[in-house]
Amino acid sequence: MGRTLPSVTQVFLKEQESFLRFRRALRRSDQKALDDLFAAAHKHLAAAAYASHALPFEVFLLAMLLEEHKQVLRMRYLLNPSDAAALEQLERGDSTAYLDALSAAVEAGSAVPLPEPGEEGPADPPADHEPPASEPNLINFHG
Amino acid sequence: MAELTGWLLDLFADTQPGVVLWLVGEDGQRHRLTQDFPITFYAAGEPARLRQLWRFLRAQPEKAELKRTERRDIFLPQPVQVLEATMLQTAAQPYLFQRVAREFPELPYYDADLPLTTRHAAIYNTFPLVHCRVEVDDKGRVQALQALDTPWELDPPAPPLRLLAIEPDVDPAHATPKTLYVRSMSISYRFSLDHPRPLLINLRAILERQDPDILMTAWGDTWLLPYLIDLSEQWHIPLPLNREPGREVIRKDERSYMAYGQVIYRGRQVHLFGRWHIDGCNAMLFHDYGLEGVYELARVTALAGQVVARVSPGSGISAMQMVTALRLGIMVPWHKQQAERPKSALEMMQADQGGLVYQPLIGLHRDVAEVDFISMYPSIMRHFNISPETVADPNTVGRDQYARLERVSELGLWIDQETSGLIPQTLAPLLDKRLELKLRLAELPAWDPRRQTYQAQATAHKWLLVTCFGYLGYKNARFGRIEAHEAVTAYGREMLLRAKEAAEDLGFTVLHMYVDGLWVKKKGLADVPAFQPLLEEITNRTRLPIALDGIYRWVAFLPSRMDERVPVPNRYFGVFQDGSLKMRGIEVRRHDTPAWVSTMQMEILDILVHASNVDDRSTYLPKILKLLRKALTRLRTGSVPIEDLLVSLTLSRELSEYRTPSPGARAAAQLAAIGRNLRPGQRVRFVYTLGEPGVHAWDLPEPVDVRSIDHERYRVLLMRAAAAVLQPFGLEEEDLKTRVFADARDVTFFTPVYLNV
Amino acid sequence: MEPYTHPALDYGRKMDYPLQLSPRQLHLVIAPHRAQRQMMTILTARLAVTGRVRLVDAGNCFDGYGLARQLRQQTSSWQQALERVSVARAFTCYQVETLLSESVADISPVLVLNLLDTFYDENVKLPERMRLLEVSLAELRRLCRMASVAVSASLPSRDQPVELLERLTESAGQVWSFEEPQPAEPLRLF
Repeated sequence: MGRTLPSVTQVFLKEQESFLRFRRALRRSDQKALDDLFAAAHKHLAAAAYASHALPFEVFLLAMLLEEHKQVLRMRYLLNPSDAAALEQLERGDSTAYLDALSAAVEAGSAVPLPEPGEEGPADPPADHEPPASEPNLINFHG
Repeated sequence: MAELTGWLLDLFADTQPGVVLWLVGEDGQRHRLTQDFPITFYAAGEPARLRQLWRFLRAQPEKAELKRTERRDIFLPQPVQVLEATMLQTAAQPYLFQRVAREFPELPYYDADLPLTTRHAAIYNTFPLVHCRVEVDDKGRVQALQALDTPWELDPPAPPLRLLAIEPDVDPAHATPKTLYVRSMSISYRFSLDHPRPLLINLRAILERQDPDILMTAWGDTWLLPYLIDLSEQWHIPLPLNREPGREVIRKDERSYMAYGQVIYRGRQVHLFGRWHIDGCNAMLFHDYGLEGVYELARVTALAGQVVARVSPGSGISAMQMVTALRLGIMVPWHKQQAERPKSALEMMQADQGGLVYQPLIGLHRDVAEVDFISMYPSIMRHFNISPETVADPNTVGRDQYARLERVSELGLWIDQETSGLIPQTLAPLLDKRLELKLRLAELPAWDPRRQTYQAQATAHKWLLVTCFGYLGYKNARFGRIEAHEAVTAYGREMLLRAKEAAEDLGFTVLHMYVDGLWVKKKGLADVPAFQPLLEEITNRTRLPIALDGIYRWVAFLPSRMDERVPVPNRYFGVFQDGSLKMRGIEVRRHDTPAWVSTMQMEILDILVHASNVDDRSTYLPKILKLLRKALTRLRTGSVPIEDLLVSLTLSRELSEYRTPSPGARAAAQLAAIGRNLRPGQRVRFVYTLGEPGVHAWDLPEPVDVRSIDHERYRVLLMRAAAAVLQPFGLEEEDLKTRVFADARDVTFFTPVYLNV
Repeated sequence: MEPYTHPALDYGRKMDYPLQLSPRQLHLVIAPHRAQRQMMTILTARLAVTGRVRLVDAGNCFDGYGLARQLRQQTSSWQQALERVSVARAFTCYQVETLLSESVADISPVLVLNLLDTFYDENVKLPERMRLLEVSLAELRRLCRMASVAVSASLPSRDQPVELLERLTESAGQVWSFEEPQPAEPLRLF
């Protein structure tokens, strides 16, 4: 018995497709930004499926916003060089605790107590493959 | 009166009333026994129509004993009034029923078309290869039958079966065979197919002398046995393929059908009486579990050995459910009439969902534990008692009818917890046996000969268990029910989320979740005991059995091939701490990858596994580059065997339905042009060639011209496969190409055009 | 019975207008699969704005998300409207028959999506399918006595029997037939 409703991935692709005309008319640089937004939403398809919202696009929008908010939090780290260690940690996916602490700190408007560089000494190689010397991969960041 | 002990090999309807049983005796003899075996079926419906049916049955030549009674229909709360027809002529029942159904098409029928083995199993607890004791009279009629073991024993007394294998020297679809190999434990012969007479005479002598219980063949269904039978008729030399005297072999036609979203092709079949014919090339999943797996499937499903070897696991599960139903006094509907209860559109959106499939965090991760629910969906059915009759709809059934109901959180369904359901009862012993096998396997040393048997059995179980969930939602399943199917996935999502929450509460990072498994890590944890508290916490919160599949030294989750920002759920590979590899979705796992490409990818993975430090490219990259260059040189110089370049694709539809013919369709068209038509679900093998049409079907009579092979195409395939597994280590495909070709001594062979592909 | 044939180009917007259901009549919409799905969704939405609608999905084609989008355009209380739509699916012609026989005759409209889909299943013998269709049509006529009933179906493909659709068309009081649109010329400005 095949499923009746399309899967969340199918719905997602269809929504994305419905913006093709919009995308075409955008400047090349804006097209890339739009693609990034959709790629961001794509990371939360499982949650979107579980939500089983009658208008899934609303959930996709929220997922885009969620990734945007993570970027904002990340920017705060970048602006404060002493937070480099935490930033590094974030990029490795060990992010939950840090995000929590960070969100709390952001709400409280204060600086976050962060581990000293080297304290956690993660042995993992970076999760993504940007050359380490170049600027941080903001687009691809996923906590 | 005599007593015999042995193993039940075959059971089928006799030409006389009753059934024939072939017993492999402990005395070494093969015994042909007969047994009375009356068959009962039921019809329900309006009393007036049932009276007409009664009169109709009375007038039929096959005498049926008729009575009015009450029986249980699983989909109805109250027993139903039925007309019961019992007949002594076992073999005649299908024919009588056919006429009944034609005459009274609108009546619901029950127990009308069950396999004989299923009926026998329900009454006598028999199954193929059951160890049993029978009392027989002097005419070989069974007076009493007692099963001495059950399908659930781990080490049942093994029957001393005699095997005979016959196979041609070459795949008959590819070339005309010239020779037949015939082998058993004691003999080994080779016969030329050019001389039919001596061939037939020899085969006849071998069959008579060896008297095998199981005839194993290669392409026996699709070519060998039909060929031998034709030959034997042509030369008037009878071949005793059947052990049962006076019977023709059964031939079944080929067919293609849809199952689990795929087109499946079954070749034609040849079944024997009194012994099994198993065609290793036409048996379902045979490459997965072999003959041991077939024995196990036959034992647990109680379907005849040669049947179970050829049907889908769904039919196996269905047969098991029928046995349970018959034992519980529940009638098996002929056609399932019951349909979905109406839901609101919103409820439908909640319910019509599968398992949770996450997008993993792309990249390479260390010290990752993979935690899996053991047989998640079947365990859910068992633990939460999900079955067609236990799912109650609060709108139509008063809640007070059930003593204890459990609510499926998101679906508004209630599940009766009072009486164990048909499906849970069917699955329980299978789940227990599988768990026991797993424990046993974990204890056994690697050299133990029993490992192979246990492994085959566990694989056979796996297929049954994987299928039983889908079968619950299958439209034609006799005991399927869509609400029950949906309840299972709803529980599955709930349990996976509980596991995620448990892991996060304990400070783990969840890297990935896929339906019934999760990949987690936590700084500083890298050995089995360290993950024990997590397992316990998940078990606490879900009440389901869970196991640590292993701890990866490293595992890489790969991005989509279309967009590197987008993760895909089931494309990863990693190395466990014991050095074993696990791979999903990469080329080496795909059936359509040429052997040459798979082998190379596997060798690269092997180098990575043995690298002392994967962070230090210098420890492995030179070896890999050397390997690739060597492989490419071999390709270019024609040293790669053509068999290793074969691509094998399954046709998804009829040739005429392809709008833009895929390479597979073009190869199939080449075969069709010489009169060899392939059906949907069949595989077509070909090599990529230069020019039009770009492929050469392997099974064409003329061999491939080695000079026409499209080396460039294979080079691209190889580089792509290599890049897929090197990318997590920071090596992109372009980079890899540059490195392979830049340092190559024979760089001149590659024109710049090639480098830009 | 007056067949209404329309050279359908854009079913979505234009076809809404003629699909006005009259009481106590069996309406039949014959259209290619996609158009059929769209039209039935639009029809469902229009009916659900004001009252209950019963859907029998006989072709595994209920478009829940499309329906939600339609409803949101028409009413701010679109979630309540979605609750007013009840759906039951049939995956075999036996189940179609069962669902229709189990439907209670009341005033809320009944829409059957892609009625013939399961009847084109060759695994069931044609006389048996014809019999089941007859029973189903009788049930539809029963439901018609109190409610508006609309049924959608597609034309049989080359290898499918025509009798089923013929029988269905005979029984319908009102038939709307839409043809496969001509493949549109790709828009070329230069």
